[in-house]
Parts: sequence; C-alpha cells; structure tokens
Amino acid sequence: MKMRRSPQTTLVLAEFLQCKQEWRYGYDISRNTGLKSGTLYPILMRLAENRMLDTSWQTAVAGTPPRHMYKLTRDGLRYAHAQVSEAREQAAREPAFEGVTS
Amino acid sequence: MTTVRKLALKISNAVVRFASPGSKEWAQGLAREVAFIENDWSALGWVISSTRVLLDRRKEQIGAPSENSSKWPRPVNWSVWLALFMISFNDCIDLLKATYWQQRMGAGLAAFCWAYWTAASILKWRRERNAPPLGDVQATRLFQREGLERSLERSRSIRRWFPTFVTVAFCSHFVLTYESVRPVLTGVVIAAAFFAIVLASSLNSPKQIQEQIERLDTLIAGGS
Repeated sequence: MKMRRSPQTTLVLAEFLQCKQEWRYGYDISRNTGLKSGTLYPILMRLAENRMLDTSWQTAVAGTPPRHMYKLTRDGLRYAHAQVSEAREQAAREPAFEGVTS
Repeated sequence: MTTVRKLALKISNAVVRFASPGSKEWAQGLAREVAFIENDWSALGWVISSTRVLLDRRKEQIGAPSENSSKWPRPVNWSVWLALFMISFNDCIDLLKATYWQQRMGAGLAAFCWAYWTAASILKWRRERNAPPLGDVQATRLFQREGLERSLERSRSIRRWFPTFVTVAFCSHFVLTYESVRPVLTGVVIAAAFFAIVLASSLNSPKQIQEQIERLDTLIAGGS
C-alpha cells in the first residue's frame, strides 16, 4: 500500500521523531498531535503495513492489561526524516502573509 | 464507574467485535487505551472516533496476535446451541410424521444440517477457548500454525467438501418440503450449489494453506 503524504501523517511522523527509540502509546500520540483516534489509527495502520512501524503489546504497569505500542522501524525513521524536512522546507518557502504585494 | 464510561466501554467492545480480522488488533489497541484515559467524556470521544476502524475491511494477517474471537458470553453460546438443537429435533419429529418420501427426505436433510451446524459451532468454540493470551505473539503463532495444519489435512481429504454438501443439502430440503414453489426453488438450489462449490474450491486450497504455514514458520523461526 502506498503512503499518503498528508499533513496529518507528517504530524504523526514528527511526533515519533521526538523520541525515536521509545515505544509510544496511541493516546499519547493523539494528545500531542491533536489528532482524533479515527484519524490517527488509519495512519498507524498504513505505516505498519508499509513496514515503517513496529507494534508490540506491552504491560507498562504490573496488574494492568497490555497496551498496544508503536515505534518507527529503521525504514520508518528514514521516511519520517525525509517527510518532515520536506514539509519544513515547503513551509519556509510559503509566504507568511498571502495577498500582500508591497 | 459512570454511565458515560460504561457507554464508552460498550462501544469499544462492539468495535473490537465487529472489526474485520485484519483490523482487530488495532481495534483492540484502541479499546485498551480507554482504560488509560482519565476523563470520561474524552474516553467517549476516543471510542466514537475509533468506530472509523470498522470501515477498514482487511483479511487477518498471518502471525498477528489475535484475541479469542469467541467472545460471546457463555449463556449466549448455550442459547444458540440449544436453539439449533431444538430446530434439529423438530425436524426429526417432522421426519417421523412425514407421509410421503419427499417430505421424509426433506425433513431428514434439514435435521442433519442443523445437527451438523450445532456440532461445528461447539467444536469451533472448544478450539478457540484454548487460544493463548493476547500479547504472547509466539504462542499465538504456534496456535495459528496448529489450526492451519488441521485445515491443510482437512483440505486434502473429502472433509473439505462437507460444508458444501451441507449447504446444498439444506437448500435441497426446501425443494423437497415445499412442493408449491418447487420450480423456483430448484433454480435457487442449483445456484446455491454452484456458488458453494466455487467458494469451496477457491477458498483455502491446500497450496494456499501450505504457503501460509511457510510464512508462519519464517515468523516463528525469527522469533520477533
């Protein structure tokens, strides 16, 4: 499946780049990016399908049920770096105030 | 627990139940997060948004951890089996009361089909009861492999055609029992038989199952 280059995907990838080696929870990513679960999970599913995201069930606190956790793979990190830097460059090229001519 | 939280849990359970096999793991992941969201209304918002997963219809990924799919409470299972058994029993009585051979044959076929479905449902439930706990990926893979081995053995024997025979037999019983609509129903039976045979031969051929076992073996050997 092909990855969609949406601003939301870039947002999720940028969030993963904040702590590259750590496993992340869905709710934490949702809170930090402001994306709803219905938007976030399809993105995570696509990333996992493209082998850019590792998933794992881990028990963080003893006695609580395991949570589904996510971490970018090596390919995922490479893709995330490329996507995020491209998005930043594009944002830098765009004028801050459109319509102002002089 | 507040009503809002209970509602959120009910919705998330429903999402897990009705998610497609390939999305089930993700639906479970979404559902698990609910327990970690402190605000009840935020939890409800999370699960309402998570219903989007239901739109993703995917096949089960080989080697992916899956929770026991037979999540219906025990009384529901027993009620269903009892209902199936009663229908089968009722057809047996019809068989005894039948006056001519078509009726007898129709009732006999129906009784056999309902009994078959009851037995198949109980066997499926017994097997799924032994599924390893969620999170034990390696055990899940071994469990899936065991199931695939069983399917492979079945697909190489006459047992592969049992569900097809039963479907055709069940459709035939209508033709034999309801004389007035026989011309129409005969067409339906032929169509159903054709459809069942095509479905049985295209789904899970020995070659496909063997490929799945090989993929699973690679994952088991990898261990991650």
